[in-house]
Amino acid sequence: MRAPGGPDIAVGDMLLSVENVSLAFGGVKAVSDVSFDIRKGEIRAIIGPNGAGKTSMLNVINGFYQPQHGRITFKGATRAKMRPYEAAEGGIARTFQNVALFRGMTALDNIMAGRTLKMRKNFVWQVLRHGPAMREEVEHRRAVEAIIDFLKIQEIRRTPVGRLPYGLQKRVELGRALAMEPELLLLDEPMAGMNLEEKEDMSRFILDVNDHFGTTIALIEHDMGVVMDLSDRVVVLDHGIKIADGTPAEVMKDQAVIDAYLGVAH
Amino acid sequence: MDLLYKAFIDPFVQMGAAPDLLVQTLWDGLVAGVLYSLIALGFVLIFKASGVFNFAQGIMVVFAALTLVGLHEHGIPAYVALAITIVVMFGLAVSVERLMLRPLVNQPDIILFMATFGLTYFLIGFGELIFGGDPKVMIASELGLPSGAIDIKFAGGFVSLQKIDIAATIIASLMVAALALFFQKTRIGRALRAVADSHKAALSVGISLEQIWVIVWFAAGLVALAPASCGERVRKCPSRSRSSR
Repeated sequence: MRAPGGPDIAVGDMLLSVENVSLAFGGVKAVSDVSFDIRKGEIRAIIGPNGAGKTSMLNVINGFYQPQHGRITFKGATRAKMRPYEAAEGGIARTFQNVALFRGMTALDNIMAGRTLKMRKNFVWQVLRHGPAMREEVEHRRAVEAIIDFLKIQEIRRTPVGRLPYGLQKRVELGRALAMEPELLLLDEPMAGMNLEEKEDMSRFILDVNDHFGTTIALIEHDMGVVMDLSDRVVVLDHGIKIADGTPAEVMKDQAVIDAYLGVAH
Repeated sequence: MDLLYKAFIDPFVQMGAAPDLLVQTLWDGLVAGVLYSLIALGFVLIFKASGVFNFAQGIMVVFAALTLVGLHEHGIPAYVALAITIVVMFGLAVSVERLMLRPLVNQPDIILFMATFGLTYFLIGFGELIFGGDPKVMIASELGLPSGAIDIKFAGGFVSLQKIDIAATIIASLMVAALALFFQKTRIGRALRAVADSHKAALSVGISLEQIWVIVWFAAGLVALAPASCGERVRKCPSRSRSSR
C-alpha cells in the first residue's frame, strides 16, 4: 500500500480496485457485490446489456454515487466515501453517456474548464490580469491548445459547443477530460450514436491517449467490434452482477456472456 | 388626433418648457434604475449559477435591512451592525447551500425554483420572529451616508440632488463593476458558468458545487444589502413619479 501522492506506480500495477461493491436505489439493486481491478496503463472495458449497472459502476468510481457496501482502492488509498471533487483532484476524469458539456461556452472554454483544479492563483490577480496569474493563464492555454491540436478540432475552438454536431461534441468532451491530465479516464459510451468514420476516429484517439500519455482508461461500450479492438481486459456485468472478467477473447467464449447477450431466461 | 398629440407631441413640449424638471426626472430615474439594477444583479447571479429564478431575492433585501436595523435597535453601533449583517448574509448563504440546495443536486430546475418559494416564506417568518413585525426606520445617517440635498440652479429653476442618491449611485456602480470583473475574469467566473450549464459535468472536472453556491448566494446577499441601506429611496420612488410638481 502506498499513500496517495507517493511514488508513481509502475506499469501493470493495480491502479484501482473495486471490492464487493453494492449499490441500491431504494429497493432496486443497481450493482451487487461486484469486484474487479484496473491496472496501470491498460484499457479496461465494462460491457453488458442495458440496465446492467455499467454507468452506476462508473458513477461509484468517480464519487457521484456512494456504494452501500464494499471498498474502493485508488492509487493505494482505500476509501469508504469520496466526493466527485476529491475524485477529480485525485486524477479521475470522465465523459458522459449523453454528452455533458457547458453548452453556452465555446469549445476552448469547455476544455479550459478542465484545468480548473490546476489554476491556483489568487482571484485578485486574475481580475487584474497581472503577473503570475497571467503567466498561469498562458501556460494553461498552451496545454489546452496542445489538446485541441491532438484532437484536430482547431477550427471549432471558438464555436459554442451547443451548435456543434454530436460527434464533435463528444470530442470536445474528451478534450475537457484530457485537460485534467488524468491518471484514470472513464469513458461512458464514447462511440454511442456515431457513424463508422467517427467511431474509427474516436478509437484512434483513445488508443493514442493510452499510448502517448500512458493514461489508464476504463470505458463502457456496446459495439463489440470496438471492445475487441481496443481493450486489454473486459469485465461483463448483467443485472448488476459480474458474470465474466478477462481478455476480450476469453470473455466472448464465456457461456454466461453469450446467454446474457442473447437474452436467455435466468 | 387629440390623443396622438397628447401621447407624442405634448410631452416634448413640456420638456422644452421646463428643462429643469426634465433633468430632475432623468436624475431620479437614473438613481432608481441603479438601485433596481442591484436587485436585478442578485437575481442574475443566482440564475447564472443554478439556472433558476430566485423568488426569494426580494425578501433577501428585506431580511438584510431588517437584520441591520434590528441589530441597531438593540443598541449595537451602526458599523458593527453592518459587519454582523454581512456575517449573517454569509451564514444565510451557507445554510441555503447545506439545507436547501445540496439535497436537490441534479434535480430539475422547477424543483429548485419551488424551493426558493419555501425560502421566501421561511425568511419572512424568521425575520419577524427575531426582530418583530413593527415598522422600522433605516439607519442611513448612522451608517455615515450623507443626508440633505444639493440644489443646482438650472434653466430658471433648480435641480435637487439628494446626497444619499449620489452615494447610492456610486456604491451601486462600484459593486456592479467589481462583480462583473470577478465573474468574467476569474477561474471562479468560468466555474460559475460551467455550473449553470451542467451540474454533473461541473462536478466531473472538480468544480465544487457547494463552494460555487455559497459564493453566489453570499454575493446575492451582499448586493441585497446595498438597496436595503439606501432602501428608503426605492420605496419613495413610485410615489414621487406620480406626484405632479
